Amino acid sequence: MGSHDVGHLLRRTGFGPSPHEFEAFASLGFERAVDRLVDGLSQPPAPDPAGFNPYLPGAITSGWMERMRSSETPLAEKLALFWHGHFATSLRKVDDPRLMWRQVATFRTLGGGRFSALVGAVSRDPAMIRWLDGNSNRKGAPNENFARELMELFTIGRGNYSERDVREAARAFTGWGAETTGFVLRAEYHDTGPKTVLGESGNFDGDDVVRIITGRPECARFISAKLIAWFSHPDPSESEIAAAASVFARSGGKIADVVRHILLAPAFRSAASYRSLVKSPVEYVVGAIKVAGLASVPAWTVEMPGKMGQTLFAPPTVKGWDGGRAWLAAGAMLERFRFAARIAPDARDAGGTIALGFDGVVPPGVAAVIDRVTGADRVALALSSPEFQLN
Amino acid sequence: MTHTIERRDFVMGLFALPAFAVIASTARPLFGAESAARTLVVVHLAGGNDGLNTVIPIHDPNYARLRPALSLAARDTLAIDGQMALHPGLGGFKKLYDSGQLAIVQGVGYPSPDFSHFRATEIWEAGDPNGGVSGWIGRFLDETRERRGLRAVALSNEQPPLALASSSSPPVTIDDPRDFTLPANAGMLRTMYADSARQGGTRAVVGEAGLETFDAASKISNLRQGSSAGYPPGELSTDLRRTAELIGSGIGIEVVHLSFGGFDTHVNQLGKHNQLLTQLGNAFAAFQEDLRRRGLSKQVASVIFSEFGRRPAENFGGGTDHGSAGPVFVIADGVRAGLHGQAPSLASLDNGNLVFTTDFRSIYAGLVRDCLRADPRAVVPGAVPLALF
Repeated sequence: MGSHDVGHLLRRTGFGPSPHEFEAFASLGFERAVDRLVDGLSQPPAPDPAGFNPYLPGAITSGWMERMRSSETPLAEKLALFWHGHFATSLRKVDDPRLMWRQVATFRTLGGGRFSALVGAVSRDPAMIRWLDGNSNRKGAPNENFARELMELFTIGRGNYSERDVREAARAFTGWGAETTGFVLRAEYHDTGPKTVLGESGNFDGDDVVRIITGRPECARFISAKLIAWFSHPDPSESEIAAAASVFARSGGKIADVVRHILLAPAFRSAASYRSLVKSPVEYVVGAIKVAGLASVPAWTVEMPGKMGQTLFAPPTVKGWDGGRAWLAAGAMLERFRFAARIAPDARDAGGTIALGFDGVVPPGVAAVIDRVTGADRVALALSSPEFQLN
Repeated sequence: MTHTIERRDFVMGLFALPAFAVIASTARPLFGAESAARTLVVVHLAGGNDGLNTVIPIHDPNYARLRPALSLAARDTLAIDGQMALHPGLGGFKKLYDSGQLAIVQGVGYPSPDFSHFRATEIWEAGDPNGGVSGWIGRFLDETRERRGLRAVALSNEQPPLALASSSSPPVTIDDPRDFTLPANAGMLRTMYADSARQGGTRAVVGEAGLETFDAASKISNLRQGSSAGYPPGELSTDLRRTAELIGSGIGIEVVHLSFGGFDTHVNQLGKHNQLLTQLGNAFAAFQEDLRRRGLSKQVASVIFSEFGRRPAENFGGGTDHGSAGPVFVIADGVRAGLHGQAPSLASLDNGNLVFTTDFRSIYAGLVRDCLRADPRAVVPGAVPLALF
């Protein structure tokens, strides 16, 4: 396939091409390439490096950025980042980096599988339980925090449930707690009585609620629309959402199948999709490290996404990052330019970095400017250019 | 999200007016001929400030009853009238109160309070009990889009706050204005971003964001730096010193948004809360003095809020849990100093929480009208402006 398609596909399914990946994918047809990327989701993730200690300062951020840079299955990391923004949990309250690291490992392993299994795992995830107050959700005094976000943000969206559904679902999750070691079911706190959630009644527990809500057509639509906006283009149309949602429903909620459908849909390769998404800070930083051909994530870059407005493991709210235009606030833009100037001299080869960064064709508005300078100054301008801020 | 004015809200807005306030129409002449529009500094005390230990009904027996471990003794607090006292750490506020620069609005909240930090913050920043996607400051910017300048800035290295979300004015966030400098290749960058801004779709969006950045940075490039003398150490203090430098640079700033965190005092509250309030009081005393030295004290007002107060009854960990209403502070040379509104009752709680007495939107409406000099009706529909100036 052409370099245009290679770059586009590798940016959307990962963090952009490294020189090596570009060569490997250029020899494949588009559909073969999609198959290879999606099939990679069923491979077991690489183990953590020997001696990895999540409690060292910055360890989980640099560990994840290094995985993003070097993964043989970049789509698993990209989906993990999607789910991190979707089930947005913050270290600031969880206060245990090991639990945050474990949550992201769950996203990495289960992120392409059945959505119901992922939600089931998230409902038992110790970081999530701390984050949304599962330990204080007890029979007789239910805490609705998790049940509410489960419906509003994680599965079916506002307008598709009632306050009563939230209260009843919260009862089903009573007693679902967490110790630092993991999930605990505290039977004495669990409300075993009958509940009615979204029109279904029974002596439900949390698994029943997950089954009921993830089986709703609203859930298929909600998740499909968000996946299209993440992988393909902003503001998907009704018919695009319906087509992806029907793949979701037919496959029993298999995320890999929905992603494959989105990547193979005509809209994905259209001009309207190309460079239509604003790179998040971590996509920008890791993407620059990759096109520059660096062999590892430099230590000084680990705090850069945070300076640009995206601190991994600490999304601003349970709604995650707004993304899009919100990534481009003035202070964040200046940080992007500073980062570009600092990383440029380390690029393995200036000409190669620029070619890779622009899919082989430097846009005319960029070429007219960077041709005035040479060497690292050219790379700095290229990485600072508007085109390179876009995925 | 559309806002429907409910009769209940309207009634609460009226109820919110303090007994001595003049009910005024939006057309009345505003606080004296000498004062043009002011710059508004919006400070969010993030995490939920314990209002009850901030502005304290010190002689209410319910106070000591609800807080066996956390209640402060009258002799340790700073009395402001026969009933209310300030936390002992707020010596800076006491000074401002005594010199007529501090207004305290008591019992501020909204119907059906939310106890989630995120949702409650969204409600305050949206200026709407239903939340929403536009901010109250953002709607002010939209209403007055003909005004020029670098109008609204958030001092932050995180995403812009919802309060500034507008349809006409891209958000500007700055971590340190002294550091907000154009890179050496800015001229060439500007050429590229101007080219991108002329194209369609997301390319135009990023192009405009770049141009906005260059404009902001060139305006800030002649920042009038000041001395940090008098400012205590601390994050809020640094941000207020930066705020004075930005406002003093005469670049058309109308709103500065700050966040000061750490107020989520579920455990061992006494020491932590004292540190936070001490910095709050001393930083603002230094800020007002800095503004006075710069000749700006009549041109700047500050409003200080938290997303919720905390439960009147202490918990078993020496702390307090998420609650509802709390005090809002307005600081300015020329403010109607003193206590506004009613202190919430400790005798009749709602599920253990305070019942609000002043709707937060009435404060916003008053600030929009009398400080930012715009029509509050489009910014906070249905709210009755609280006369604070």
